[in-house]
Amino acid sequence: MRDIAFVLFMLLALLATVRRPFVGLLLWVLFSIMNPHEEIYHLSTVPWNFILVIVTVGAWLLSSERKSPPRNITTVLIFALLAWTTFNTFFAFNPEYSWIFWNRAWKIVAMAILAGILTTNTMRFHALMWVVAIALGYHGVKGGLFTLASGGHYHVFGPANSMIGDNNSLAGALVMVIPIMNYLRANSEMRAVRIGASAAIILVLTSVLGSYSRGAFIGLAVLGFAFWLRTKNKMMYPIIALIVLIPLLHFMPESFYHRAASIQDYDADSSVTSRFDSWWVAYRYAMDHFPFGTGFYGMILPGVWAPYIPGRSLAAHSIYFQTLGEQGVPGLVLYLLIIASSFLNLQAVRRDTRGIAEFTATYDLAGMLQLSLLVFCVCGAALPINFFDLFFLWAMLSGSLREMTRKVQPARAGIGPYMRQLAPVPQPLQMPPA
Amino acid sequence: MQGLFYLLTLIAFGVVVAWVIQNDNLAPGEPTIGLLRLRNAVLTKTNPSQEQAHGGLDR
Repeated sequence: MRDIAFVLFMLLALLATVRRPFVGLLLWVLFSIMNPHEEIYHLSTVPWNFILVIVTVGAWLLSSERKSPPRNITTVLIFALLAWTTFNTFFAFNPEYSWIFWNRAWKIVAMAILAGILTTNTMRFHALMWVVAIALGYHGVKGGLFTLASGGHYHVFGPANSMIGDNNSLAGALVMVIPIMNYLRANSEMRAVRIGASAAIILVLTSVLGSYSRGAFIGLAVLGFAFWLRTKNKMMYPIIALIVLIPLLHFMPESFYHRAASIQDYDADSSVTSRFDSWWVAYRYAMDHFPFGTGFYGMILPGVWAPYIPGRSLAAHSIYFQTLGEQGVPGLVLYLLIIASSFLNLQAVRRDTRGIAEFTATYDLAGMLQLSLLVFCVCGAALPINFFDLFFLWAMLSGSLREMTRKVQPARAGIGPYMRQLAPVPQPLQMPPA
Repeated sequence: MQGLFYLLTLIAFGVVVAWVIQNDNLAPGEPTIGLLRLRNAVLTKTNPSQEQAHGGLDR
C-alpha cells in the first residue's frame, strides 16, 4: 500500500517537475531530509534519488529559469569549500574511504546551490519553508506523539542511514526547524494553517524533550532567549512558553531530569570527555598535517587516533572540530566564513525590509533563518553534522534572499517596481527664505 | 498508524506543490492566493526571465 502511494506520488511529482523545475527542487529537499524512499518496502532499491535529480536538472536546463547562482560572497565561499574538500580528499588519511562520503557531500551542496538558483520570489521561499517544515515535521511530530504515547520513557531517534539518525542530531535539526515553523505560523493568512503550525511546534518541542539530548536542550534555551530578545511581546511570549513547557516538563519521567541535570557534571561524564578527546585529536591531526585534514569521516578511523590516543576512535562531535579535523585549517576557515556571511546576508535583508508592510514576511523569514542558523552553531558545537543539508540550504538561501531584497532600496525611493503602498518617499529639505 | 502518518506527509507535500503551481504565474506586486497564502506580502522576484515571460514589470 505504501509502495503504491509512493510510486503514484513520485509519478505526479516528476510530471509536475517537467513543467516546473522548482517542484523537483522541493522534492529533492524532501528526499534529503525526510528520506521517504527509505520507508517503502519492495521498491526501495529503485534509484529514486538518481531519477529525481536527472529529471529536475534536465527540466531546469531546458527551462527559462535562470541558470546562475546568486552573485555574492556566500556562493563563492561555498564553491571554494567544495573545491577545497575535493582537493583535500586526494590527501585524505584513507582516500578510498573518504571519497564515499565526498560523493554524498557534493550532492548536498549541489541541492543547496540549485535552491539558491531557483528560489527567486517570496512565494517560492514560502513553499520551500513549508517543505522543510513538512520533512522535519514528519520526524518531529511523529516523535512528539511517540513521546506522549510512551510517557517520555524512550528516546526519539531519526531516520536510519541519514545524518540525523541518532537522537542528538535529530533533536538539533528539530530545534533548527522551530523558527521556520514559527515563521510559517506568523505569516500564513489562513487561521487553520496557523493553528496547524502552532500544534506542530508543540509536538516538535515534545519530540526534542523526548530525545534526551542535552545539546538540544541548550540549543532550545539559546533559541528561546534569542527569540525573546527579538520579539516585541516581551511579556506575552514567555507566558505562552511557560503555558506550553510546564505541562510538558511535568509529563516527562524522572530519567529525563537526571539526563538534563548531568549537563553540570560534564567532567565526570564519559560521553562528554570522549568528545573532548575527539576535539583534541582533530586539532592535533590538522596541525600535524597542515593544510590537510583526514578527509570526510576520517576521524573515526583508528589509524588517525593511533599516534595521539591509541586504541580508540570516535567521530569529532562538533561541526567546528569535525571540519578542522576532516578538512584541515583552510576548510575550517571557509566554513566559518560561510556561517558569518550567511548571518550578514540575513542581517542586510532585515535592515532593508524593516518597516515595509509588504515585506513583513521576508523580514520575518530573514530573522527566523538567523535564529535557525544560530541553533545550528550552538547545537552543532557538540554534533558531527557539519555537512547537514539545512546548513548549506540556509547559506545559499541567505544569498538568494539578499539578492531579492536589493530591489527594496530603490523601491523605498519610489523608483523601483514595488511602489504600491510602500514607505512614503522622503521629501527634500527646504531652506527657509532668507 | 505509521503508514497513515507517512501518507499524510505525502499529501501535505502535494498541497505545497499545488499551491506553487497555483501561484507560480503571479506577477510581481500581486498577493499570493490559495490555502497557504501569505499574510502581508506580495510577490517579489529576482528572476528576469520570469519577468519577461509575464510581460515584464510594465505590463
